[in-house]
Amino acid sequence: MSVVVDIVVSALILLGAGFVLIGSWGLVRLPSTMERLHGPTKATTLGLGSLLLASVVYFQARLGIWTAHELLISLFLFITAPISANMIAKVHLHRVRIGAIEEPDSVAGLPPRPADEGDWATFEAPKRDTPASTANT
Amino acid sequence: MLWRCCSNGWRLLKGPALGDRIVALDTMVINAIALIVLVGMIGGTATFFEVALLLAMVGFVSTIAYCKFILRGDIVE
Repeated sequence: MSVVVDIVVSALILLGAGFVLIGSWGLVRLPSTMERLHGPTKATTLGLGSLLLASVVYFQARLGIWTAHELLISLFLFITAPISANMIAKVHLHRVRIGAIEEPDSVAGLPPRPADEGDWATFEAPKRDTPASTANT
Repeated sequence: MLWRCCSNGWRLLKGPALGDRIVALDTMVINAIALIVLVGMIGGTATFFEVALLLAMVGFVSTIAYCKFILRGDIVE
């Protein structure tokens, strides 16, 4: 391997490890759940993204092959990370609403209220004709 | 690396809200994927990427299943 490839791979690994570390550190340090949700999502996108990019460059330089596994992993993670973050935020909103947990005082504070006396769409009860299950249809 | 897992475990045990624990588990899975990718680069074999991909899928599905369970009290309605 040439020196340039070495430098590129090490820089990408360090960047990725740094971002994942920042994500975990934010998970410990930030005061409220909604803020704590921010750290790991950034860690996924940037940290793991650059780690997988480093691995692509490394295997290309070492074995001379382009591996598609990293692309698959990063694509899957980039797609699923927002979905799971959304689900966790929904869980948090519901648990705040039913009073199971108290939101601590923080910079972000409580989640903002929707305009016009509305409520979050996730709180809406299902309509009368909405099927609860699609199993029997 | 060890410090990352330690901080995640700390939040997992302490976490005042249930959401925190889910976030911590999700992050632990992500860090495990990062570790596996690094181990694969050290070992020089492409076998570890299948492991990482499988772990990514299992982690995502389990996070969603846990969230659905808390939201609805049931996973498959």
